[in-house]
Amino acid sequence: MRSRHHTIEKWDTEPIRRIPTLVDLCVQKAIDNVRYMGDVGETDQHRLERFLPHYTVEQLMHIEDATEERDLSPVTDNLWKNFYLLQFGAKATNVVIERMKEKRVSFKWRQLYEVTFTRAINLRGSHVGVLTRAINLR
Amino acid sequence: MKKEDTVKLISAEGFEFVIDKNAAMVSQTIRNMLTSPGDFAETERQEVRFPEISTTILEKICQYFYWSLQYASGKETEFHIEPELTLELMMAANYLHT
Repeated sequence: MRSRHHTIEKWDTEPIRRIPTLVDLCVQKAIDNVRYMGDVGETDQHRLERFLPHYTVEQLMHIEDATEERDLSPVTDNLWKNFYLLQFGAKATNVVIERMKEKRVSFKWRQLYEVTFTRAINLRGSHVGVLTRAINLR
Repeated sequence: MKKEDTVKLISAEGFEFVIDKNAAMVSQTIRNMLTSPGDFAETERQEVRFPEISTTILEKICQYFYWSLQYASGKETEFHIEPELTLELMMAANYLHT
């Protein structure tokens, strides 16, 4: 009886150590070594959902481009939406959502991100151009 | 090591890995295969074929089994995974419930 009680006490005080599963170790490796990642076409959705959210814009773009024979958007669309939100803000994101609703169209968030990003770069470039021209005129 | 304490895991290319049964039992899938009641060839011969798992991956999986046992006994070392094996290993590990 005493030993049983002792066991329970031991269970209460000592944290139970969890052995990392091989899947856990692989997921961590995939996060740490994105440069080795390319075509993830055969990896099931649940595994993708575990490591793709850790990647940056460029890394995610690289993975999607390398995975030619599978559309990863069921997993990545939300990630691109988050990137859009972070890059262009909640207001711009809501405007896009509203416009898509109004016009009853739907675009992938990666497309939206790329188009808006390119537009922003061009806009910035034209501002720089105007400024340079103004300076040159002086 | 007695023969009855070991199991044979066979890769897609036909390579045979003879390992301790308790190491192989780290995998829930292998455990089920080896202990399920009925006249399964795996249970009787104590060998399992993996036509979908390459030799390199199966070797890594066997290493993981032993690493897992060591880890459980308190020897917490790092398990090295070659980056280029990650995805294939992840799929096999998923299948093996490991």
